Amino acid sequence: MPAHPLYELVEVVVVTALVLVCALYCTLRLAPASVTLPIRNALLCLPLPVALKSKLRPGQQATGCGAGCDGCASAAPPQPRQGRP
Amino acid sequence: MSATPACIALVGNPNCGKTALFNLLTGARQKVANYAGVTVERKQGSVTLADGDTLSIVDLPGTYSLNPTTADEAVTHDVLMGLRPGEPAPDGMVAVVDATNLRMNLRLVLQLRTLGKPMVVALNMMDVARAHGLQIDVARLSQELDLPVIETVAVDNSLLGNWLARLRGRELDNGREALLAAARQALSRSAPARHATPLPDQLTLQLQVKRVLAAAVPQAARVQRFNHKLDAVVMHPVWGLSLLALLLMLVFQAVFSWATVPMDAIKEIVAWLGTAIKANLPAGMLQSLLADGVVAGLGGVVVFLPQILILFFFILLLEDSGYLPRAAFLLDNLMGKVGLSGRAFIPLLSSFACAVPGIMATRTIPNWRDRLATIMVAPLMTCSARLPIYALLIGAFIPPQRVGWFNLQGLTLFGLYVAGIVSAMTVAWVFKRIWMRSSYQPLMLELPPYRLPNLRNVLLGLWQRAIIFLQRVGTIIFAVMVLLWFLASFPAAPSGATGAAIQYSFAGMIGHALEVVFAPIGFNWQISIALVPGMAAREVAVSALGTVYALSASGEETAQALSPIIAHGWSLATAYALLAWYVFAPQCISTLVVVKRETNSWRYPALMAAYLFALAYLAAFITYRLAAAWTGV
Repeated sequence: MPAHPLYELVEVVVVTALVLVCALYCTLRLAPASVTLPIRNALLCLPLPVALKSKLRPGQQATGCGAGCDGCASAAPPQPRQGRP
Repeated sequence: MSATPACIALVGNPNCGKTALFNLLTGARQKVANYAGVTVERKQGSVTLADGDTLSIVDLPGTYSLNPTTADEAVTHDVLMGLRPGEPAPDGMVAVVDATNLRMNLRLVLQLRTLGKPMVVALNMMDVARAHGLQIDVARLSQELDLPVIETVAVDNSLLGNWLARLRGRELDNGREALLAAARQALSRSAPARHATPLPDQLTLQLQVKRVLAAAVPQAARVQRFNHKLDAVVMHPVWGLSLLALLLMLVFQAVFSWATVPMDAIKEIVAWLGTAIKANLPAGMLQSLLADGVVAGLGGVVVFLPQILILFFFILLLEDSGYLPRAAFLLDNLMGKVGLSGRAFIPLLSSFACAVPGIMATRTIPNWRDRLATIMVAPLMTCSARLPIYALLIGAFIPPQRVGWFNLQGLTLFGLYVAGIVSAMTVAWVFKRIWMRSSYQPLMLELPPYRLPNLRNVLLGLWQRAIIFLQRVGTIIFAVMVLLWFLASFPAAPSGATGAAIQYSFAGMIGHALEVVFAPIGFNWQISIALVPGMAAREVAVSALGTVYALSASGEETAQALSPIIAHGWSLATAYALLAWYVFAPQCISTLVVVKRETNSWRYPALMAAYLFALAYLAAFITYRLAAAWTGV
């Protein structure tokens, strides 16, 4: 199927935007807090929807894999724990 | 009532139904199970009363006394005493009591009473108590305790229970409204003031419990007779273990034999989607991203949803029936021999779903060395994220032939789960011998009564499991697949290139570089690529293989289901080596992050990643060499 020139432009924009958003999402989900904190703070300064902002707040970071198998993802934000007795 | 909602804490022994009551009161959907130690962190919800006022409700981890001995008991103690920073002590308490085990539960009630806070007793599991023929004089109990006592049936809010109640022409009374009214009354100014008193010693407590029981439960016998008869078989050292092995084998048979039809249906839908995208979009980046990246990648992993749900259906049945703690006792002897604490069973059991809650559940282990040993071996238990990988490889390489009564594919899956358990026990034995010596802590686990599995709990558990899986597919797996597609598509192949374009891409370069490391264990460059995004979550490796092979298709080849591609492209030795690799597979960033959080150090997650990588490599190497020699490849 031959592509319209405008379609090719839209295609580049859509694919680029999708790749960038996914890269940002993976960084926020997988990188250590020391890396993600400045990014989160920068994003919180942008005029984003309230629901998105509440997810970006550092305290709302998923407590684990987000699987919530034991309700851990929906539990209260993690408290600092003392590993050793 | 003031503008800030009053806060009520649900407190009680482990496995008395606090979380079920919390769900009933607040409409939440926290996990409940028929064994102790499921809740290790506080959970908060709220309920709006009939007059429009709001009550805040906190569900606390189970505790046997106000003198905490474990990390989760300390959470309960600290919340009740107002010792948690930024969190005021609750205004009142609901002491949740298992009506079938008053002797144990009343000790905590009597201790809580000494705090002098407004308090109500929820006499939970009254349906089970009645079924056991237990006659409790509730009015007398209330009088003896000097506290309001409300009968509740927190988990009988089931589809079946409600349906049966309606058939009998009445609505089911689970005690929710009465409990809320009593809690509100206890918090009101008109309620008689209570004052804190010193904690009584153990002997005084015992005598008080005896006195209350003698008055309120005159004939507390006959209750456990049925349980004891069943336990004689279920917990027998020979019959019990045989029954456990048989049950597990049946579960794994069902995982393969029941899932065929829904899996085929999902495969058809995925193939149709891929074809529709290629037919309706002009060839180009977007078409490739959607067809080769998203549909091939996500479709490759979504197809395993039926198998995951079937596995969890059985786990939920066993959990809700009260069988799993019996299995803990059966295996306690083995765990003691390798030096693990008896309390390690529940965390290790939780790790079959996901290592993250399993590692969090180690907070119930009081000894630091025992806890650390359990944390270190928890990722060896076969988590549900490994199931898609196992299912893919077994489906592609193991013929569905029968071995006696059993299917060879189911037996192989059973073998892989057993391999995970044996590995965990072996590693624990080594750790406890050379590094973390400590005396054996015997298992003190309260055996819950047998119950018919609650249909609502099982369906709710399956629903949650499906949502969790699909959320992962729609979020992290989708994002990783888009990135992988980008890495596998750019830079484009140079003019005059003969191979598939992916070989010249960033992903191709990474794959070929990693192949040097993984070639000795039989992994090709496509597998080597898939291992990298598999670090986000293990099942992503399956999606990654789907995308990599879809992009590797050239000329007239079209993207097809992953299973036949690898069945033709890989040797049997490679498939076995990959299975052996994933028994140990160290790649799961979430697990490593949680280990860091629970141990307050990067040292332990680094050690865990290193030893798991070494074990995975060694196991895959040995398997590959043996299989290659055996098959002559």
